[in-house]
Amino acid sequence: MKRLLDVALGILTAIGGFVDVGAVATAGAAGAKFGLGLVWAFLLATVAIMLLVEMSGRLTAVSGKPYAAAIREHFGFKFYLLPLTSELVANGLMFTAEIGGVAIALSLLTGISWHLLFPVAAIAVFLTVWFASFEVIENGPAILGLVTLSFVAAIVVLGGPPREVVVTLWKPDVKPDDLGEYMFLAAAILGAIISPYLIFFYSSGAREEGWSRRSLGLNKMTAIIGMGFGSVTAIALVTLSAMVLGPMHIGGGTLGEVGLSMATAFGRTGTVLFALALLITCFGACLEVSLSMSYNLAQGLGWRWGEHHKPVEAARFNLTIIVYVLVAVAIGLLGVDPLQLALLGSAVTALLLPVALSPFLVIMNDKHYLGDDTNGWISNVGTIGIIVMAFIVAAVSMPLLVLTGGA
Amino acid sequence: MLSLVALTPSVSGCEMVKSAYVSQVGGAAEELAAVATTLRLVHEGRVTRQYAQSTFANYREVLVSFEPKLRKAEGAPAPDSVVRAVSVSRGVAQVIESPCLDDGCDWRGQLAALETAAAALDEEVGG
Repeated sequence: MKRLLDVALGILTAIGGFVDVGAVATAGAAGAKFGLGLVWAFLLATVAIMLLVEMSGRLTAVSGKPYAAAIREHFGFKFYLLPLTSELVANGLMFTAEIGGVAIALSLLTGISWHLLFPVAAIAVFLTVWFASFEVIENGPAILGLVTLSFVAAIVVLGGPPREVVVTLWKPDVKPDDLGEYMFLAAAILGAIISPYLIFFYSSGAREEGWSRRSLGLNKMTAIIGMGFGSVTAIALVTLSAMVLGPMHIGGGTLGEVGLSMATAFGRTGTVLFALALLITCFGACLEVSLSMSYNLAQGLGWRWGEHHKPVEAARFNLTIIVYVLVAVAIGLLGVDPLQLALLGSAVTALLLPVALSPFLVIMNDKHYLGDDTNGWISNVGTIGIIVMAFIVAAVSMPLLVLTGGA
Repeated sequence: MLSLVALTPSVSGCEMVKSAYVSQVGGAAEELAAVATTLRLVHEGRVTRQYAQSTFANYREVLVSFEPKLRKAEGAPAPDSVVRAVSVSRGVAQVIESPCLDDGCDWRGQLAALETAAAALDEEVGG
């Protein structure tokens, strides 16, 4: 258990990228429509986010500065406005979507309409962010999030993927008129997992935990185990959907549909496990997104920030959370579909992905911040590759969103 | 990855994206298949009643917008295609509105109607 708590920051960070409301829906749809044909996108994104998270944690551990603060300091406030604005808009949409995910999970458990449960979910998120310490915020979802490993168990119970599904791993069945949707889903997976808010949250979390140069080993382990955990659960969900939903011609268009594969494996217990997994991961993602927004704003504007401060001691940092909860409730009460919001949020994030990631190349080679712990050539080549990928995702995501109607 | 960029401009020009009509009808067929599966799993005791109630509410939200979206959709192969698809969806509207989640009603009849409707829509788009 102690080892798990050591890497809790990584697991909570991974939850936001790999198994939040949008990611569950994307994984479900990807598996149902293309079998294992999009697993490559998950694997590519996993390697990329491991590298980025490790770098942001190393930066904070060595310099004491979170990534957002380093961007602002090194490139100036005008430049920082670009990632800040895109993050505030995208995270506002994502935050509302995640609260919607919590409400839908509660609805799956109780049978009550998710529209009625939306304000309840928002209040629960607000109270947790307001009163809980950072330790509780990271350890709670990380421990409870292990319920997502039930996706892996379901694959085992169902006897593993049959040969015709395994073949799609290297030979995806993409019909000519499905190519647009296939490409859209690939871009959506890459954009959702290589999401800057995960990096901003992780590096701020490292500061909240008081990491120092001695934490570099822990940082590496957290990045690998945390992101690896997220990747395994997301790929398990893809596999499960490919095994169960695809053959039944179910598209996985709603979250309840995605959970039917768990019902096939475990019966009623499976539906409860799926709803609990959705509840915990979306709740964790809510905490992550809300804190990430406040971290970005506070670090950019030089406000006092951190969960170790009482709300009155970091008033503007906490006021940001209140404002975002109110905005989210207002949007949520309009009845907008959380999955559509998540999709839009991902598209906005993808648009400015290169702006948020390019500074890595400069900052991680600056001895002023990192001393002897600057990037080696392998990390630099990896970073350049990720930035190129970010440009590609940024270039194609919006046109594909329009062309496919969000698939 | 680079193929994503290379292919994007050609996506709209070629037949790499389904027409709005095919997307809508295909999506509705998938949704009806999900409705039928949920109903079957409920009566096999594999889905909790609460889960079923919640998912049916979501199915209703998705399917209620099917008809207006379909009427606006471009790319129908023949003028009566839209009429046929709308007629199929209307045929099971009552089932989606009041699904038989208990044993005291004709859930098998509802299941058969849903499966027939899903297959009909699937056939409509050559699925």
